[in-house]
Amino acid sequence: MMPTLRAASVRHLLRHPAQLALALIGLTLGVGTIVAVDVATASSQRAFELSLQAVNGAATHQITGGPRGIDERLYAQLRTQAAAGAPLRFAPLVTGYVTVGERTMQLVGVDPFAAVELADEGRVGAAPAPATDGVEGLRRWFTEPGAVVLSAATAQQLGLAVNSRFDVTVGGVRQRATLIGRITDAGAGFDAALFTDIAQAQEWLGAAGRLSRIDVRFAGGAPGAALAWLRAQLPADLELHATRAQARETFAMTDAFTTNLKAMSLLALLVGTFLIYGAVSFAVLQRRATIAVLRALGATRGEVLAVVLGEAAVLGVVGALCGVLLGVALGRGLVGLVSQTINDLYFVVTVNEVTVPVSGVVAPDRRPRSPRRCCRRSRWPRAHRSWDWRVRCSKRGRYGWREPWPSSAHCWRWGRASSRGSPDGACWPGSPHCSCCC
Amino acid sequence: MLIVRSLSRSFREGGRVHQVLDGADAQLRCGETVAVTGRSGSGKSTLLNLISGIDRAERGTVEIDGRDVTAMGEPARTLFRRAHIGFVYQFFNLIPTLDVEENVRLVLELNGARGAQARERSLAALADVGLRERAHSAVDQLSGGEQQRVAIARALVHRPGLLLADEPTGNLDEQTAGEVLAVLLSLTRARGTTVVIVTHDVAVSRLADRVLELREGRLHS
Repeated sequence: MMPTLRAASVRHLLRHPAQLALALIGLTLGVGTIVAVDVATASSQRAFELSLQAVNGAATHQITGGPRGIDERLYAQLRTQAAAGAPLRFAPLVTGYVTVGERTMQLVGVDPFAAVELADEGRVGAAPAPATDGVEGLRRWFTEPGAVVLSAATAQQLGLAVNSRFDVTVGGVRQRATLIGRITDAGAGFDAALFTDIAQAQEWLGAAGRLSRIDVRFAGGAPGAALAWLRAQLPADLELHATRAQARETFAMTDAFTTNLKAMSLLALLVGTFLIYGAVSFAVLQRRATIAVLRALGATRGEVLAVVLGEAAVLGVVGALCGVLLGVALGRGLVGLVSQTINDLYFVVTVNEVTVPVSGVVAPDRRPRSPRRCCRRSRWPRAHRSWDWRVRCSKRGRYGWREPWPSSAHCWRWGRASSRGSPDGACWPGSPHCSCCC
Repeated sequence: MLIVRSLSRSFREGGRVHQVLDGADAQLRCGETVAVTGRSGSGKSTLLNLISGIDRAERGTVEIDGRDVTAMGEPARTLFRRAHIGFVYQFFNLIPTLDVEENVRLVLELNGARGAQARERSLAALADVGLRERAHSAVDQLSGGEQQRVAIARALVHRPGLLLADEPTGNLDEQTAGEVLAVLLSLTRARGTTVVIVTHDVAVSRLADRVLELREGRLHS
């Protein structure tokens, strides 16, 4: 654009500060709202994933039942029969919701021995590490009524020290609990969980003899045969799911809620866009005489249009930048409201850290690096949105496919992945069937 | 040289057709200054718009230095206008968000000049009209006469072959009008620019080489 035309355009905007401010505020609010909603939902989703990762541990599959859960005798039956040859590990879980003070948390009743065995490789899944450390810890875990374990961060937020006694409300009934240990090296996924012994959880939840689910991991061998064997053992009212598929279905429950939020934020963006359109249209009307002079002097339609579009672009970029900053700030506030709604309507999440998505499509990769079975530099793609695309392998110029839900292609960035031997064809960091070739 | 042949243009007002120009003919030599007079609404400004290619004739042709403007498409007419025609208006029509020098430089930039060269040429054009010292003043701080002199500098800075002036003294007092006209004519005559001045002012008509009267859609000597 010619310097004088640019100067005329900029000075016109600066001479009408109210008009300029209105346009910028409109777009800032529009973009800010959509970014805030995206930040809040992405953070909640991330918290949910971490929470699942913490509770599910290394389980590849889950056995679930109806509202009444699973008869615990099935667990005993599976363990004894599997010991005869099937390469399977099982861990029973009882889960429910409790309220500690004003905070809703997930009560997770675990069998620490089974959980450690399920995790294999020394990996701690659902088993709270401090409670299983040492004989005294185990004694208290199994023998002390109301013994619970929390993450250190949550305990600090609730003002609880080790050996503190406090009330938990389970199904409207107040119960007495004792904090016997804190999980100090836990990730954010543990923050919404209150761990206790499985028998204690059954007692508090009024589910004596029932399990919420049984976690399963394949410990080697042909997964197809083991799966078939396991399915044959299950009564008709129980189902066997791949863990990740179950997680995806669970989080999909919030789709309507997050879609509504996004629709409303898009409405705000639409209003902002109309404000920009209005401001630019008004600016054009104000300068009809000037534009006529420019045309008479020999400015082409394209040159005049470039001035108008240039103004709109500058307003758009400045407004969008301000909107992103505002959105991140708003998102930090909004995440509490969003997670509270998810807590009230769907499941418990505790969001301690805000995830800022790079765009509405691909959020930054904040997952932990793959553990040893995957190649050292491999990362998990964050492609958990509703569609999938071909993405370029940035390091090697190759192309790979990212799945809507991660599978073996999670190693696309650095090399090829192999999911041979994986029961569901999936290749997860930590999965014994996963290997990446760098 | 400017040749106007059988130029016609009408406007529709409601159900009525108002024939403004109806076969106007004129021929101007290079460097000639012609005053066009006529009653209000007789089509003087329309004639300038047709000559410059801002508007399009229904019939007839306009030829400037051997090029038929009426045969050109809109983009070509615009590019031709920016390079070969200068405009001076009754109400100056300077751009209020640009200073004096920038208003003049704008035409040079439209014609592709940039930077120091464009700045020097615009300052030289301002010096020609006696406003070198006001180069960086805001245009709304100038008097009417000064603004019209800036408009003259803007119209002539790129050395056009044809200058079209629509009532250039119509908004000025008699003394200022005389000064402005003197500047305008001295510059155009020195450069050999063909000038068409639309005017009601008898004093302006007297200074022109020739006077054409626009009456009933035609030009009469």
